[in-house]
Amino acid sequence: MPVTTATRRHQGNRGGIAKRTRDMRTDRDGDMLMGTAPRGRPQAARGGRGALQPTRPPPAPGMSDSRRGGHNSSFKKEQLLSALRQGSIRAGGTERNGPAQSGNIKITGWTKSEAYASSDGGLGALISWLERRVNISIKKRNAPRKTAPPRTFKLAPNKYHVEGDALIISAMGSDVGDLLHLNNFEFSGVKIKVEEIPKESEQDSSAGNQTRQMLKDFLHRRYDPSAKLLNLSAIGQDQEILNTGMFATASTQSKFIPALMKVCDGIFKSAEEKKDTVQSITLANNALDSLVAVKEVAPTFPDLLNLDLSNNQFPSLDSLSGWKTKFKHLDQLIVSGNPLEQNNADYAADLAGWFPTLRVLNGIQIRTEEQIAKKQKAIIPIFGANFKDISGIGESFIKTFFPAFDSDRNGLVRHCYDPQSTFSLAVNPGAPRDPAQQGFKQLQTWDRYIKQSRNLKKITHLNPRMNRLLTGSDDITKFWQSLPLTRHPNLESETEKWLIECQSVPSIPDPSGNSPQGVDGLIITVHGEYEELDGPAGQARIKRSFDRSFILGPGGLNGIRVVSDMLTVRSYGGCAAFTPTDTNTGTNQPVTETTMEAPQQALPTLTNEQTQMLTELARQTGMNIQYSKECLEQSQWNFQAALETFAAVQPNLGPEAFAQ
Amino acid sequence: MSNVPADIRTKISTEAAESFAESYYLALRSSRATIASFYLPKSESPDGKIYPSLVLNGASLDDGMTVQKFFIEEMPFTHYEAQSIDCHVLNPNLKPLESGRKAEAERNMSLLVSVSGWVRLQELSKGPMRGFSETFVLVPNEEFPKGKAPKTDKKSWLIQTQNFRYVT
Repeated sequence: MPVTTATRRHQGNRGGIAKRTRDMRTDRDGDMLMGTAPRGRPQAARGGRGALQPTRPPPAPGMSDSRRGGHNSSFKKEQLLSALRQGSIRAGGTERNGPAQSGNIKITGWTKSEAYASSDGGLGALISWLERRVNISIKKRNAPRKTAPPRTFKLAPNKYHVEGDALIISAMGSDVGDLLHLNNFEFSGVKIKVEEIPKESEQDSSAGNQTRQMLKDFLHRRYDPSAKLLNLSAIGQDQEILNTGMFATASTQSKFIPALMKVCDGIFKSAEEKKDTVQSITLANNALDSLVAVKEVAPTFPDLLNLDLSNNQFPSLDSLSGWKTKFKHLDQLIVSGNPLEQNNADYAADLAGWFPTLRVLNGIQIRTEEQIAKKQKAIIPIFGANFKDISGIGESFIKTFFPAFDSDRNGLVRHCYDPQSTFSLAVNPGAPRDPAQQGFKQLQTWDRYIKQSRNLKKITHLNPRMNRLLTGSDDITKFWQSLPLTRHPNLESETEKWLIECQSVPSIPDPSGNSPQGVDGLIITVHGEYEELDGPAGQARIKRSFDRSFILGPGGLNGIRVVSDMLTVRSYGGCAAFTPTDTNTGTNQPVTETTMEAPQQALPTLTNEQTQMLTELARQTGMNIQYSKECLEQSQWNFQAALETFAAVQPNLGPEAFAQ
Repeated sequence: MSNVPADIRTKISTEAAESFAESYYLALRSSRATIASFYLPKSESPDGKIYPSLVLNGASLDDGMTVQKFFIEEMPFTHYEAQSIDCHVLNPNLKPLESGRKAEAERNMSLLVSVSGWVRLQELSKGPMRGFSETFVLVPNEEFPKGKAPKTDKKSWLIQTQNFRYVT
């Protein structure tokens, strides 16, 4: 199989540490490709290399952030230095011995297999064969427990590469043993050889020590304690590094930063110490065209505040995407002097999105501290219920509705629903659960609901969509009878379990037909919970949460009719979310707190027809408006019936009935 | 009453609700500059009521542009997942129609849409997650291109009323 070794392509006098060995892929002919571009980016996109734009002056080492970097840190350069000199350093590499932890596995012999004839040289077949075999081992080990295997072994593309006729795999834990177990197994007609590559320290311990010492010296030279800056710029020009021959081959170059990061990990005893000591890193002037050689910087310094990547060869934002969402506290970033500036017009906006805390990009402020602080809060502030009622109609309705839904659904439908009212139920079993009950997952069954659920995400056909929308009191009555009995919390003594809001809504159909444009109504949104009961006085079986939206309009027996009623029942989610986080309601957001005090008398708006009846009855009988209205209400707004009622009661009416 | 058959009305209303929810929550995540275009322009009715009427976690917001600004300037990354959607036709005869065009009559309604789901904040995989419930009243966009008119980026339905709440 022809293999091309990755070579440095643009060393120049900037000295590259970019190196591609670990990123090699095979193409369809089995040849090794040298692309670094991740996820199929066309190679052509990397044009213009070498044409380094001298944009802004290189910023290092002045990247220290006076805003965040100035706070007291007990760290002294001497501490780093003495730590470096003392034997106490947990230098990387030496402690992670033993196949139980991690190891590099070399597999040979497979290139003689029949599968080698396939387009990828049999690599794909080998990988899936290895995965299958290791998974069998995992399963076998797990078999006595009679549970599902705890995990599936999968070889991610960054965990293996091909060197010559050897497949090199880096594996962890028991996978190492499982892979070694496959030595002399037959793959595609040939016996393969599986062996562990000895660790570097075992391989050549004196050379390893030498390297470590060299790296420590390098760190020593490159650390600026006043700026808390680790200057990793222009490594290829570092005379002492060049003298050691460390940069002589592409292979050692690619190992430089990983080795350096291991040494760093050994120096710092805690993440806190690391964070206080190194706040800025510059990787400027390294001719980097991908993150491959430097990616270990992110896990080693996750709390970095300032990062300088200027004057490299990053061709596009994609080449930096490996660090997207890394560096959670990044405050300043410099990417100037990279081809990506030309190739990605919107790079600034994208980078701002990648790093939510980023304040300064290429020396230009893109966010204020206040904006970042707000974003960090990460939530829409939660205010108390916004209840913009009209004449107490909404409040009165709610106070009638929920007790009646628990005790007398038929009566409720008769009073509040009419032949045009619509109702439907939607079930959301996958809704987030109560965060206070983590770990305790009440078993939720939905069979009493699911057959009637109209959740449009699940019900995609037109017929059930039509059938599951109930129109008119009769159908709604029938449907409600099929639902479990409920007990809602008390609206007055358990207010914390409710969140009820009310807004006005225009253009509600007018059943009287007097307003073809429709009339004003209310939209009431209710979030709450209820218990399902076994029987009328029965045991509570389970708690559900629900969201319910009502549209109320004028009409019906009580002057109010439910135009539309949408109920969503979901897994119990608790009521913690209803508590306002932002009690500062005096800001620019006018909020009316709901005050569920004693129910006010509902004063429903009369329809035009009713107003006409009222005026006419008052005129004919001489009664005042209040008495006329009561008379009409008793007669269900039937004018003839009202006249008869008046005739019946007239002898008993006192003068107050006629007092205007 | 409306002459539009019930099956046509159900089809149009439920599909409108689904595609609205899909594009609206996608816009909140990744095209926040288009958020305002989902809203009815601000207007005041003769009796002094102002629409759109927008309430997010209890706070009244002025109009679509206010929502857009709020998301661009103050909200972190958000990913909304609508787990449940339902929709009723609220008013099947919204406006007196000028033309007898069928397509126009079929859309001449207001919709009540309810959504239940979760939103992931800050980060898609590991960010904090909240359950939410949201109710909309949608009305047809009168500026939506009719018939064979060239398509624009105008939304076909606009938010007239909105009520959002975290519920977990």
